[in-house]
Amino acid sequence: MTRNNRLAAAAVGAVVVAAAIAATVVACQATGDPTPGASTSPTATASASPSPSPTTPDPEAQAVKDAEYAVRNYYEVTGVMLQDPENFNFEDAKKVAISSSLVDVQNAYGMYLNDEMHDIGTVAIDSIELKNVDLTDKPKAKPPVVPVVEFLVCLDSSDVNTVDKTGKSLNAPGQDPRSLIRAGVANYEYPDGPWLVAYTTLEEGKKC
Amino acid sequence: MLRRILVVLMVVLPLQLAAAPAAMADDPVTCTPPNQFNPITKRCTISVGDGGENGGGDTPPGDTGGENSGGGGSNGPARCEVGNYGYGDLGVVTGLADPQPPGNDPVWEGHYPDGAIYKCEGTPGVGGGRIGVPPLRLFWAATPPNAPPPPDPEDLAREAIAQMQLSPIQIGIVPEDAPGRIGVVGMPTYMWAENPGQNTIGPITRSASAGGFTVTATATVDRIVWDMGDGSSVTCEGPGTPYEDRFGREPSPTCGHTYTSQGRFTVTARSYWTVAWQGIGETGVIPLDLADSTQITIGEAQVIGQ
Repeated sequence: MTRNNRLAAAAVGAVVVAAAIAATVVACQATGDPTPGASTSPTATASASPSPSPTTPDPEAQAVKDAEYAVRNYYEVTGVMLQDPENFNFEDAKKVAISSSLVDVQNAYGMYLNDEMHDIGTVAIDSIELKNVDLTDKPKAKPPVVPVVEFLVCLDSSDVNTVDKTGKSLNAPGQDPRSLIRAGVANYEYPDGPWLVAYTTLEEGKKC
Repeated sequence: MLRRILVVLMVVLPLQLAAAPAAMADDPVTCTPPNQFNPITKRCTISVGDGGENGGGDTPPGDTGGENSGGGGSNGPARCEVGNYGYGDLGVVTGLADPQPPGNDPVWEGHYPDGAIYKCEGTPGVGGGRIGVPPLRLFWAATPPNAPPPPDPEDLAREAIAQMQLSPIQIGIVPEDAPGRIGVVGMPTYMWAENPGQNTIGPITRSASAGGFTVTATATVDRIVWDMGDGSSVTCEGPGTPYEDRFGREPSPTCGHTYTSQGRFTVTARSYWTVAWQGIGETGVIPLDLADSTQITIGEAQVIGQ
């Protein structure tokens, strides 16, 4: 095969691959199934398809991705807060939490400031498991219905030492450092608004 | 602390015993009082004890595990329990949670979409010499809790200010206003707050309550403006530095002035206070200024020498 022939063959191959991706995206969008691997023939749709952008994400997949990022961001920002509450700008908390979770953050912030406590170290996210996705969006309903992604988050507090102003540890002895949290991430201005952690609750009696 | 809570209880319990929400119903972890619940990590920490005027880790009063209505009776403000965060256990209903939590949030206790989620706000603690952050709790109620208008928080803030008995600074100045004490033109004058205290320089924190509502205010002097009586004024950020013989003819490192003409001058020190208050779901700032005066005499060196 000549050099030109090899290039031509490669170009045909690229078109076929692109067409296959486009067909898969179309199939996923039509069925709502985020799993790739639809059986549509790539050659059959290559010329007829309107060729949606292969980068257009599935809404649910995108929501899960953004919501998981929000969960990680929530624990990162609250970790910064608990380590140095005196210098924490509470406006930063409003960028990662809303509703019940923002209340939680405010209570922790107040408790740490009031008792002059701080953490040494931060909680680690051991795992995040998707539990549920519901993108139903009825912002004008009373109460409003907003898109929510729920995760089960395994937190590991092994490296966290909560201390008072003298440096004395306040960690309650005998506690399991790992806890399983159900975290709901909501988007009150879907699809353009931010995903914010709206509630976190302990899955009592469950270990991770 | 305990006595105050008991006094509050005597007022509040008749209104809320029948409808006291269980503390932290959405997070069933129970931290043995006075240990504190960390709402981020969902773990308990050992209480550090009384963190200030409103600190402490007392068991939430009225925590009878009843319905989470959070409402009060018809004769008083809607009271509620904030939860065991080690401070400010009692609170008042300050309205609907905005935004309303998603239906999956356990705070709905399975009632979604019936009723609504309301906000309960406690009294901020005082730690590290400043007003803390008010504790909050969201709770479900089938109907709006009965909440007559609370008192104007600024009125309570002014009551708290009255308790502070704020005063102008006691003027310290060299040359001082005393027989035979005369300063010299061109030589440094030192100004400072003599015996600075909580009620002359701050910070000072007091609370005032009415009808079960509490507002806490903290007052601090931002600056002292000295009117030197010769047409000039000097602004000093702190209390100034008292003159000592070792300073000799050196100007004050923090708060001073040099007269360029002789005469008898009335010197006025005006302290500008900022009073930050917080309570009943609101915050605010009240500026104040307090002044006192003295007189000093400045002469030319050759005149004094004669």
